[in-house]
Amino acid sequence: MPGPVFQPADLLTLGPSLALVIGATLVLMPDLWARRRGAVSAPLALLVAVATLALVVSIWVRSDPAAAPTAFGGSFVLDRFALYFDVVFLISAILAMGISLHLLPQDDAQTGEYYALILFATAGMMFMTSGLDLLVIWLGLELMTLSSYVLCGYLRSSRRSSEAALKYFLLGSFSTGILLYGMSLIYGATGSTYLPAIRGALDAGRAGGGLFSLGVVLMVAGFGFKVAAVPFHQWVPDVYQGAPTGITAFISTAGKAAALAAMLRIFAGGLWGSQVTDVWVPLLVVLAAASMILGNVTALLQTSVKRMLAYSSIGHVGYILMGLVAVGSQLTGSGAGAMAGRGDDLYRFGVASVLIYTLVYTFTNVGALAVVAALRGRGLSGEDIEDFAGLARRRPMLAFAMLVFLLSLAGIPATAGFIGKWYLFGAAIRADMAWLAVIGVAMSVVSAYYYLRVVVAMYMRPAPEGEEQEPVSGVLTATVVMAMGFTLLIGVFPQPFLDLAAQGAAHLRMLPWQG
Amino acid sequence: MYFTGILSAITFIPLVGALIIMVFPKAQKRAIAYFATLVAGVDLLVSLPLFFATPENAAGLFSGWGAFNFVEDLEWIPAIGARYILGVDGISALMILLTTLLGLIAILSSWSCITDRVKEYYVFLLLLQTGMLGVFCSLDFFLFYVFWEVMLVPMYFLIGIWGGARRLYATIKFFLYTLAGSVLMLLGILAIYFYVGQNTFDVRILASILAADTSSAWSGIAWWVFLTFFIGFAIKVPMVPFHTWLPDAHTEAPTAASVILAGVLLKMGTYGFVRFSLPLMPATAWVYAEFLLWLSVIGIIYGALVAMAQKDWKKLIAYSSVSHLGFVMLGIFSFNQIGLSGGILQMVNHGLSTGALFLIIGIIYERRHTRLLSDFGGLSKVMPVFAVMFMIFTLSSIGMPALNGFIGEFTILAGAFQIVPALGGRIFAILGATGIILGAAYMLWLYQRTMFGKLDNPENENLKDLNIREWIYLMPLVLLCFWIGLYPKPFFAMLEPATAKLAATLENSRPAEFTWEGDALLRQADLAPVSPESADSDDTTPAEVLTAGGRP
Repeated sequence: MPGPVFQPADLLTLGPSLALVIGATLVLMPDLWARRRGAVSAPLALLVAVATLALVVSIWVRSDPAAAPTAFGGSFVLDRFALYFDVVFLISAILAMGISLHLLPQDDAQTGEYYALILFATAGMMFMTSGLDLLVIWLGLELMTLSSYVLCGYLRSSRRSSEAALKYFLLGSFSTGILLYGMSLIYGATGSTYLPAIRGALDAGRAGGGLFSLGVVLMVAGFGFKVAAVPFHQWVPDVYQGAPTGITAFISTAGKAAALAAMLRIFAGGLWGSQVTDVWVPLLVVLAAASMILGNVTALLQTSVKRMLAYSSIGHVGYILMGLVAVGSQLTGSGAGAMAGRGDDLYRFGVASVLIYTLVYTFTNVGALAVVAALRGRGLSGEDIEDFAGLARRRPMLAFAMLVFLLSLAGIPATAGFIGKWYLFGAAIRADMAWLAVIGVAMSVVSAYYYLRVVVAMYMRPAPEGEEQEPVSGVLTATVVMAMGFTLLIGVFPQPFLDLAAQGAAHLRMLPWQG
Repeated sequence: MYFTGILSAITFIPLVGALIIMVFPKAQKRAIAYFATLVAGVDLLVSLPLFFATPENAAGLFSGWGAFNFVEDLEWIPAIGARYILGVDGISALMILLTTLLGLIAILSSWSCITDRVKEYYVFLLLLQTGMLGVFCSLDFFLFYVFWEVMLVPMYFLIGIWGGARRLYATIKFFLYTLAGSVLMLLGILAIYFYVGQNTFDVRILASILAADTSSAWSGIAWWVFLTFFIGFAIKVPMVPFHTWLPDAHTEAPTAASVILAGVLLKMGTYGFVRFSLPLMPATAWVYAEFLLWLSVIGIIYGALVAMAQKDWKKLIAYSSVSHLGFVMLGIFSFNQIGLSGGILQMVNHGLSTGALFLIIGIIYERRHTRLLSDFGGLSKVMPVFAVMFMIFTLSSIGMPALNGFIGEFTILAGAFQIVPALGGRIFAILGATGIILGAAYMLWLYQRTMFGKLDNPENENLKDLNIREWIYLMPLVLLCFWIGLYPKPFFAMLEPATAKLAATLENSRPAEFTWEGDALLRQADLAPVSPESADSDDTTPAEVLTAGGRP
């Protein structure tokens, strides 16, 4: 490894993650003396997240676009790729806290630990995107998932929540085991867990072969669980439905984004060359197609909106994997296709498509779940499609927000979802994988059908008589407005966001050893 | 009169109006309706200069309607090269005028029949207007696609909230059908974008590059791209067998939405073929032409036969649209200037006459709340003025000389008569003409069953004749039907430069297997499809064919 293992300056590179960890520890304290649990700690956690977001943005602004600062002997990097994802995680965390600040008091479950755990999970995600060593990535992953297990089962009085936590824990730890096993096989085949060293071994022809390939397969399976791609998706519906809505929002967006970032870092940023891509690209093609089809078709059958969004999120992962496949098909160097501008252009385009979609999906999906949260109250769970009946008359603004989110999920223009899908389908077309894109658009139409069912309920059905709902708190209103604002802004004026994604994508391949 | 930004103004005035209506108090139903009418009226006035900007009227001011005028070109999303480019040639200008006119009429017709959720209704109607106008103005493929899909949403709500008994089924079917077509088309757009690789969606640039591209790589891709465009546009037209959403949507939609749907929305499909499919992929268009011609003719005859069997007044007119749009497609895919001009003029004619027929049905439905033909009979005795209006539009729809439908159908058949034998030749003109006969049959039978005979249903005895408002919104349509029927020259003059250019592009790209020795003979007889050199000086314009007493 280049350089000494630790220098004091490394702590600066670690800044955002450190800020979160320290902040999370502070958040745990006020509950010791505050009169009401969570009264101080919850807003404090939100403040920590916002402050860290400001820190990340300031680091981005001041960072050198042509350099990527590394720390800890090169095993941790804070390039714009990592910073981009840090922003996504923090936005997701902030919005999820907004939902939780509204919901938890209703369940009488407002505590500091809950928010601290969100911050810890976010710190773990940051390690995942910044890790250049398989072990750093794995440690980040563990920090993220362990926090999420607890958060899923946070509503102890709810059987669903406990069931969700147990399922998530069992399947999650199983998949982490598979991932770790895959990493250990790669270590066995190459003698290192450090990505540049593994790459060196590959280039020198000292790796490859069955052991290495099996390691890659197991890692794809492990990450497949984390992003909830078919056939590793069985845990998703129960967990998303049972978990507190804020946590559903958080793990369905930031959790997936973290796993996708790690996959990009390992497969697209680190280990290219046909020994690797020949293994994972065909696998991901199958996962992408299966996720798009199964996720969207199964979502058709759901009556619970939360469950429907869970299945639809499987479908969305399928779309995103198309972007990864496009990147991978470029790395194999399978020759020139008919489309112009392949090569490095396509690589960056594919990475950017994944980046932009995770941001888009974060705003959209968290926003939709925030509306679900807003509907809860007095006998209504807010989760059933029936609960949306007549919403346009009872609460026109909330219905309009949900309409925007659903249109964005369906990929209708003038919303962010369209821009995201444009990039992903474009990446697939450009990589000469039109058939995958055709599956994608066909499934978009299927998805439009079930999203429209909610629209029909909101706008075209009468409201049930005499139902009063909890007033929506200011913080939840702010959450919905922010998510909706960005969903529309990215939809109509996407340029600044596309620019950020392009810079992040450009950095993925900028480390000196990547050539 | 002609200021820069006129197209933006036309496109976004309804949007601004919709935003203003949003702040109106809900209970002010009257004020909302009046204001929406005002907005649509202003929009129509702003769009009127487009009509007078034909080359002969504005001598020297414009290079002519063959090129794009009033172009606005602004940066929008540099990362992907999408720009905000608006511009119109004669074809789109005519479509815009049709849209602003029908938009105003649709709003006028809603005053009395929409009493529930009035505010939302006018907001959606105006949003729809912006979407449609944007489609006709866009010269950037990305921008076009945004308008194209955004337009679906307000229409979805208009049918789904204010529609008839089966409105939910109809509106979801409409939405999913059109969405399926347009997302497939999106893949085609992406394929073109990445194939060209110039980081641009400007259709003018794309067309100039692609029409000249004779590489086998492109013709392979173009085959697929044309297919995706075909599906996207054919669903919108709709062509048989993609038409099944139309009768449901039309029947369930409220009157104004039916008028817009028939008058403007269906034209988007045919317009898409003219603006995108043909100029971008002229050589591939020839490969597809015979298939499309057969579909058009099947649509003409099938639509007419099914219309004949309908018991529901509105459904009958809906199926007649399938037949009429088949005519439009027949004209366009004749691939000669006469056919193209006729097809596009027929788009306008269909918008006027079928739009009017839906208004007629709306008027009677508002009074009787039924559309079943068996409930009517002898209405001419109680509603004489209504009966006259209905007669005019029926005859216009049939293609009676002196009315607009005749001009359109005649020019289309004149074009179809010259379809090259390699594509099937005259058979299409002959089959198309039988559609006219069938059209006369079902329309006159409809008229007979509703207007003549004994007034045997007591509920029909006290029906009121047209009121002033209904007079006001039907009269412009009557006048236009006669104007186009008696003096179509200005309309053809608007279209000809653009259609001549398109015909020349098609002629230039005609693959070898579609050449025909008869072309030379026809050229001597001044009847040939226009060649590029003679595009400007060609003297066989449809208008002249007609004024010369139908020389072909």
